Amino acid sequence: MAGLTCTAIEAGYDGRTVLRGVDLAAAPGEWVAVIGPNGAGKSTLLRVMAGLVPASGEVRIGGRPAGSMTRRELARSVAVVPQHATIPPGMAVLDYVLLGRTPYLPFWAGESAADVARVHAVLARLEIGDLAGRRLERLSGGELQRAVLARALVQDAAVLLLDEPTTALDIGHQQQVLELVDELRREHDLAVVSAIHDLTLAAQYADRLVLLHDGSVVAAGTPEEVLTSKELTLRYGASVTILRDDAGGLVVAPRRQTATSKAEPTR
Amino acid sequence: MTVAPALAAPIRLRAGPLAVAAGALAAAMALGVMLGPASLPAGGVFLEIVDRLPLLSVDSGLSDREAAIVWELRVPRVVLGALVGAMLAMAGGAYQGVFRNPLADPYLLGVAAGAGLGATLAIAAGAGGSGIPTAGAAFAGAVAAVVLTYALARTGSTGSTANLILAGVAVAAFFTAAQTFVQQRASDTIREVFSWILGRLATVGWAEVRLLAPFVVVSAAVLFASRRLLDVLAVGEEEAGTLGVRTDRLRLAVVAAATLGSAVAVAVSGLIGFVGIVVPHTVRLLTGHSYRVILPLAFVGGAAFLVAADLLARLVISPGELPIGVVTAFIGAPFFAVVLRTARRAA
Repeated sequence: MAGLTCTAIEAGYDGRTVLRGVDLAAAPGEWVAVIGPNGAGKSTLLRVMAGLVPASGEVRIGGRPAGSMTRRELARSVAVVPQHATIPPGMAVLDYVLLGRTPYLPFWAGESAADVARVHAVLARLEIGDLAGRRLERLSGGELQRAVLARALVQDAAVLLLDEPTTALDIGHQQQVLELVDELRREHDLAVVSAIHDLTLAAQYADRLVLLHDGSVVAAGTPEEVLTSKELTLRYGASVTILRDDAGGLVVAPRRQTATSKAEPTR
Repeated sequence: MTVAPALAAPIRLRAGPLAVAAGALAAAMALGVMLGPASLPAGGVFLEIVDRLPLLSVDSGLSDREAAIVWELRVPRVVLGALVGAMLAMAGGAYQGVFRNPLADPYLLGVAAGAGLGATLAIAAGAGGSGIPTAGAAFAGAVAAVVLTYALARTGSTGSTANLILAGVAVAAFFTAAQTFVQQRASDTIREVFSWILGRLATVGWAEVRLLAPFVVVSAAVLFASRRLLDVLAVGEEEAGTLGVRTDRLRLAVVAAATLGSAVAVAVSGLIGFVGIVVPHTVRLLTGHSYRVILPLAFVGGAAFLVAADLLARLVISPGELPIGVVTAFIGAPFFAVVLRTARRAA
């Protein structure tokens, strides 16, 4: 299958197992959100998909085993928006986004005029074209997140991984970024996998959810199938009400726990 | 009618700053050849150098002794200064990039301490304060120290750059202790050891230049080729990895090239401090963050800086000489302070 598939992924750090046999697939144009409590293994799963963490099992990108691809080939197929992108001080937005063309550049040569034009086009598409010459540290949080997204987009990869893309943003900028990702995945037929804490945002934007708990997939399917108050109480120890908005989207609303409804998450 | 605003252009090495650095280097080299304890006519010095160029033959009007001063003493010394300065400054800039640490310098992984021990052993054994045997021993010491640093860092849990820096500190401390011990035991050579450590560009002729030049060419070529990937590394090793960079290979290539080049530079010139820090940072403050700009300009600017510093070392207490390491720090520190202030005000 094109897009991305993970089969029986096992991974860990320093002898501690973090992922236990995870399966996940994202087709071209599909958005899969990985949800789960802190420490469930969401970020590790994304890092395995990006080839940054050694793992057993198999990751396939566009049908090819990721293990057989070089770093450069992988970077042309999978683009990553990290949770806390490193912002090099003094670097201009244009130079930063141009870094996304690295997997296409020969060792001896710099970026071509076509690479620069491509970056300008993506910056204009993300409505930060007038910021191309500005230094990264002078951007607002929302602008910075667009710059990081732009760097991932110019990699021209078929798979886009987003690790908590909205953590540092206010509610308006969260929506702007996610709407943008949604438009872009439709325009470019991207397979999108995002780790995301906010369950309502996950339900509103993703086609399918994968709920991780203690390194295993405990639920997977449409938001309606995965986000039940019973499951969320069981996995998060949370007391929630699942609501529907006018458009039929799910809203996960926290509510005060009463003495009888207090629950501990299972391990 | 409205005109579309010009699109921002990516950062590149521009002709202007390169011309300024090259002009400074040319001026420093010209003065370095013209000036010295023996006063020679400038026109005669110029013609003498022209005479040595291939296919050209002119009469400089200098005596044989004067011609030898120019061609056997001053020219090799100026060329050696340019090579050492270029190598140390470029290596410093590359180290700062690969370790993402502004205080990284060419001596970070134990090159200085290793070379110091090697030279001290050679001098204590009677090899003298300058010359090829001492240089060879210094080079061997420098390489041994860096190999030890790498071996030590690999025994840690990860091969991270922090491990490498810490291992460098430990190895440097050990080699410095050994060097001090040897120096104490052979106290009759303590003056020669001390003068070696402070650094000098006094040569025995072209031998040091011939020794150093090939290393500088190879090392500078590797670092120059890595300049774009060092810019990618500014986003950190993991993100650079997601952009397709084999960061482990890049680090090894850059560290090996920078270390080998600085080890040979130190072996022929002693421990000249400050060049590897002050020159790349000055370039960075004046031109920005990109190693595509910093590395080539540090190469040319470092050459100019050290030739100029050597000129001062020779002239200030002429006919005596100051240790060049004293001059680089004495001039470099206030100059750097001025650049730092100016750049901050401009930002």
